[in-house]
Amino acid sequence: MPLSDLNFALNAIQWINVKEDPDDLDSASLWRFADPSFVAEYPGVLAEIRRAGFDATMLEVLDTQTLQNYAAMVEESGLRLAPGYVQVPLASEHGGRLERGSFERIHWFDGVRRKAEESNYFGLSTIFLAAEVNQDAIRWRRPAVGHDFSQDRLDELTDLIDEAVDVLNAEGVRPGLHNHVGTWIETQYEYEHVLQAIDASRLGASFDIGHLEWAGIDAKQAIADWADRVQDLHLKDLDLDLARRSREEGMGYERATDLGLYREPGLGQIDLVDTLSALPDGFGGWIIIEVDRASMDPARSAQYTARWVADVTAG
Amino acid sequence: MALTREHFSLNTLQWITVSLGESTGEPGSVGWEFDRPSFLARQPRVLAEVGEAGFPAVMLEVLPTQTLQAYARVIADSGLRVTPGYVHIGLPEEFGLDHTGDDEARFRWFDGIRRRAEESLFMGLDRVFLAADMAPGRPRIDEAAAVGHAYDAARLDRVTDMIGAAAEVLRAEGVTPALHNHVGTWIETEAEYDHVLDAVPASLLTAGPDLGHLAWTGADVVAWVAAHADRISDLHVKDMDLGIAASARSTPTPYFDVMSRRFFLEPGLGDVPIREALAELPEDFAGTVLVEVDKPSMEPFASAKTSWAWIAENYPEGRS
Repeated sequence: MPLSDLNFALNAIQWINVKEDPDDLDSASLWRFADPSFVAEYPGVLAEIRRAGFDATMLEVLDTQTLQNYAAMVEESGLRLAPGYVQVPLASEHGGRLERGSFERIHWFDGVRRKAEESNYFGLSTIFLAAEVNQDAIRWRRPAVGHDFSQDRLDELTDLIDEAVDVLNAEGVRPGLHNHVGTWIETQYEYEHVLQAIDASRLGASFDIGHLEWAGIDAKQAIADWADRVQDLHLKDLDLDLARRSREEGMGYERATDLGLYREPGLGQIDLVDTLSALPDGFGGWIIIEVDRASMDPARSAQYTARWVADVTAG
Repeated sequence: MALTREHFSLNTLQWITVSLGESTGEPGSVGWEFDRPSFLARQPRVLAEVGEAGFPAVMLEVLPTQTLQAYARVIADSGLRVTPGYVHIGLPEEFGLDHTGDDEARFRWFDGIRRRAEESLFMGLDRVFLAADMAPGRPRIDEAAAVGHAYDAARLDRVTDMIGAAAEVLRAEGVTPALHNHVGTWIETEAEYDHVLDAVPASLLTAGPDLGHLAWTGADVVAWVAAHADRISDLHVKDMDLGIAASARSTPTPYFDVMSRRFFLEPGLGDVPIREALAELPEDFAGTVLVEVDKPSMEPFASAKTSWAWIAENYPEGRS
């Protein structure tokens, strides 16, 4: 379908996943959404996204603000909202497996319920659903190659995701399964296992193009293979040579990020236009662009990204 | 008579304090039925019984495993109005914490406060009851209730500061808190209650007394309401056996020991001069009078009906 018919949004991640000292790769990696002081800076970031030329951003209610507070910020910014993101943690990595129906298991999905609540509050009926990014797990140190695969673990995760889908569906939200490097749903076998286990009526496919390519998967082929279930997408560009090196050399997730794996669209080597051409006609989902680590100042990164969107959707 | 039946609402405590005080502290072992995921399925029936008993309204109570939208649907189905909810806050020191120099931890201490603001606003409410927290293990719970046990002026000032800070968080969201006294907490006695109300400006904090808890401490609730009539935005009322309250005050008695007796009663069945106290409210009082029966003296539905019968006997119908 023509790219000009697609809905693009920007995740504010340029401003969020930053180094404590931008000039020092060995300084701490920050995740500013979680920082209470970011609440005060958030309106400025939303304004920059709008100023860059985007008319939509990803739903991201800070856990330090109320829905109403966030709604006021979004209204002030003039932006529309695109679907948010929810993670499902693996119980056996956090103290042990949980029996269905138990008090702890019901509360295991509190975060999922919260995301449903947020989505509904803002009139969004879809969401990206992924395995938890657990930076203490082995794949964070050995990403993108399906390291330490275990069918038993994948079955446990599939069961938890199945219940998370139930929780979301009960609230009227249809999730799309999201692959993410560094998690237990990283390889083609892993995301296909979950997609096959959970009915299409309950769960769509909301791939991350960049994470597919990082794991060595042809994103265009994945979209084509699952065209009838593709719901929304994350789009990112990558230094594919570095991606390959990270797989071959056993580079950690953080290291690959720090070395410049992530690129503004058009500055990497993924043929994004060709990849998106695999989307079925009439696709009505969202394309949420992410630059997980900006290669330039965040505002310039957003502007660069917006120009790329303008270029590829022109004419 | 300014008050009408439309002013009254019910907290569904009758159905949910069944095993309060018996929790072992283990996950899933809760004496507060609201906290049991299984209560979710019972909630529609309980709310239906609130309405069938006669009440036009119920206190805001979004369950921990329930979204705002799911709660709003259950409320809409019940036909009830929702009246202001309740939120409490403790001192970090009571939990072995010190937030000095840790702005992030300090900020997140108010997460629960922000959540209640969010719930209130979602349901169209702009007021909430705000209390000091109540936790097992505290001297006023486990040793001596309702007598100002273990009073410490410096701690009361820290509690006052915390209430003031919580009030500021709520006001920033557009919700006005009403300070609530509660036996077992550090805002228990009349003197403590007045101390906090005097310290925090009325523009930031109204008064939302619990007449039962005040009476339990021996206070003259009629005089108290008369003296604070202009600052009261909403109230909790409960009836109780004041003879038991007096004897429990005369010797150190833990909170739940008092509660285990036939102490809490449906309005009109005890000795708290509720009607006389409410008569001291201004003619144009527009707040909510929330009825609470912390431990019913009869089956829950009967308790709710008995509570409403007292309201119907004493107050005229409102404009309809």
